[in-house]
Amino acid sequence: MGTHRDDTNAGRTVPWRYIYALLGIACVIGVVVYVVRQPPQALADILQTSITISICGNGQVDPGEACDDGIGNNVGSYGSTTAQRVCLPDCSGYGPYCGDGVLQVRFNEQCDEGTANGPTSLCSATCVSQPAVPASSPPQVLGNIPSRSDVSPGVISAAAQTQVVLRGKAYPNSDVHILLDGVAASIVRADSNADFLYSTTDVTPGTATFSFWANDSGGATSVTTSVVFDIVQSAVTSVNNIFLPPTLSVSARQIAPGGLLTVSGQSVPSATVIINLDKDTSDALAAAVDHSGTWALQLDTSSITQGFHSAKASFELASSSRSGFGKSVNFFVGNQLPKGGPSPDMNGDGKVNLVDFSIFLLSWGTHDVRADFNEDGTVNLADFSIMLFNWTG
Amino acid sequence: MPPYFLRIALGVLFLTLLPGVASAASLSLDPATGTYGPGDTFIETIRIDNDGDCINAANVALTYPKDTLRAVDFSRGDSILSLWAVEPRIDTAQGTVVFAGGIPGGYCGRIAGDAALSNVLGEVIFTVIGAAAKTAAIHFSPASAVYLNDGAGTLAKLTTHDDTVAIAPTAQLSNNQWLSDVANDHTPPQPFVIQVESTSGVFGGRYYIVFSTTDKESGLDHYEIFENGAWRHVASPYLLKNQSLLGVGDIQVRAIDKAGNIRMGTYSPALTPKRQLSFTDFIPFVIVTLVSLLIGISWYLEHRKWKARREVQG
Repeated sequence: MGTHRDDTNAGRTVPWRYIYALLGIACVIGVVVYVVRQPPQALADILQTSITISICGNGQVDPGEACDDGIGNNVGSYGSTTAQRVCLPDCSGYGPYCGDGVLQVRFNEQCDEGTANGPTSLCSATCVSQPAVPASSPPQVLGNIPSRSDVSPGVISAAAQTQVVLRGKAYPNSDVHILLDGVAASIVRADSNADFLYSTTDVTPGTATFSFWANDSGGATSVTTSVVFDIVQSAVTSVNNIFLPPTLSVSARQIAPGGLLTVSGQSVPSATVIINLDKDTSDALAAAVDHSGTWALQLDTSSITQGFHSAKASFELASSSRSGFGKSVNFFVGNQLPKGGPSPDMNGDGKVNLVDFSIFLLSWGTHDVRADFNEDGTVNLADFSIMLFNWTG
Repeated sequence: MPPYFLRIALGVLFLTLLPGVASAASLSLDPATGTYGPGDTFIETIRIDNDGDCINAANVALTYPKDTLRAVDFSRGDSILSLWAVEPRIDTAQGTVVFAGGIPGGYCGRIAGDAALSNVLGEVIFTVIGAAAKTAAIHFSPASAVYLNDGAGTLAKLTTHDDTVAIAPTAQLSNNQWLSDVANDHTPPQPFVIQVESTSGVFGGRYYIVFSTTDKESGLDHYEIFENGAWRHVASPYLLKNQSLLGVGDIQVRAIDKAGNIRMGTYSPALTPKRQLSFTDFIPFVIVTLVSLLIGISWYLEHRKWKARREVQG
């Protein structure tokens, strides 16, 4: 064998350069086939959001907490000194204490000058009035402090409840549907800033999946967003920054090449919505959300190839605060819209829940076209995955 | 030609032709190693690492040496899966454990600050039954699969981490952790509701019930329904035997966990929605009508013949 790439076998020349060329062509074809076979909505690059958990009761001051005295100790009872102050049950701050600057007669305080309390102050460290004395003198107690039986000391039971607090953002004044382990648990209303809060003690310690979805004012349904975490016994587990991604609608499912397509939806007021077309994340479009939570932009389809395309959106409040992607919406640029597949809403009641799952199970492993959502000929886990993506509970 | 070139080229070709493969997830067993002897019972936790992607469905198939180990139970108490397309199935004759389930809305990984790893798919309880072999390997079979939560049923690229436990000649564990876990479980499964449904094209439009719940401790074992004066095993969806509903009392289903704790679910038929009629509901009517028509036509034809004969004779 010389420097050339041909070889011989039993006196016959083996055309390696042609074999290489064929392999190269095959690879190129493979790449093209791979790209083409990707369904337009197969968008794997899913954004991670900045969801955080703080566990009120673990003895550590987690993000969003002001204090944490540990399981059973966050009772918010009165502290007779700053050092003896007691954390509130939700770890948002301390219960009343001598040194908080608030005169609390019901706890027998005679005075409270906040951090100024001390031997050189007119108020002692135990909130007892004292004359101005040199710093070296010990604090004086002026007589007996009458006890009051008509007020409650405000002590909360030490047997702290297991509680979950969930905070996030949806759409202004929208109803946020909350599911626990896939089953509808509650509906809470987001305020005009799209903030929602859900708190419950009706939970069992252990791994739990909370899911969220909402309809915007135009009736578009968000993607179902889930958080999976461990509920700690006798503690308040708070999950923050649960962001429902923007809703996204298109003015037409099918549009002639060169037409203007309106892409719109709802999100958090004053946020910036980032819209990605197909799998392209390098050249994303952006739209500002107005005070009512609405956003919109015009998409010129003259620069888009004919065929199926998809659009998905996320929102950004700050560079470090971003939602995940919402539902991917397909549209067809061309003159004839191909037929779509069956819907995971198998009983047609507008929801995808246990009833649809039950019907789906009856078709498991069969060729039932009603449950073959990806139309690959078999009802299998891929179809189950599509159902779970569209889950509303 | 260097042989590795062909291998690499074919590998690239193979990978590029795989349909819908993207991103990565991994399945692993915890603990990854261990030493056990005959009679020891140990728990292998199946964990998933989503590697930054959101996933929503998983199919897990484990194989183990059936002469050395026996899978004696499966716990889904800590599982992040809340819906089970394939209930956990242990085949001791083949040495396999399979299950498939999903998470509505998907699982995007551990949240910062979470008190637990929260990435458990299930726990398999093994007992060592033989010490002839020095090791026992527990493998994820190629049937294992994970899907992305992207609405398209995209298969995630999956890596698996098998486990090989060392087998000692004598027992190594002083206690049975699984039995302790079950004994300490005094919490019943989560509350649940029974839905009575009638869907055109499903069970011929007849009434069926659906239900689902979870158990956070030892895990759900099974459901039972009270029918004809006795409790019997049931799975959702279930076609009700008594379709009249009214006058038969409440529909009762109970969920029972591994420790025997029971959670009752009750449905009052007074709340039953109106039944949806399907074509099959009309089949008896159609048959009776057709038979009646046939009898009528036959009688009419016979009558005409008889009349004609009578006129000829007359």
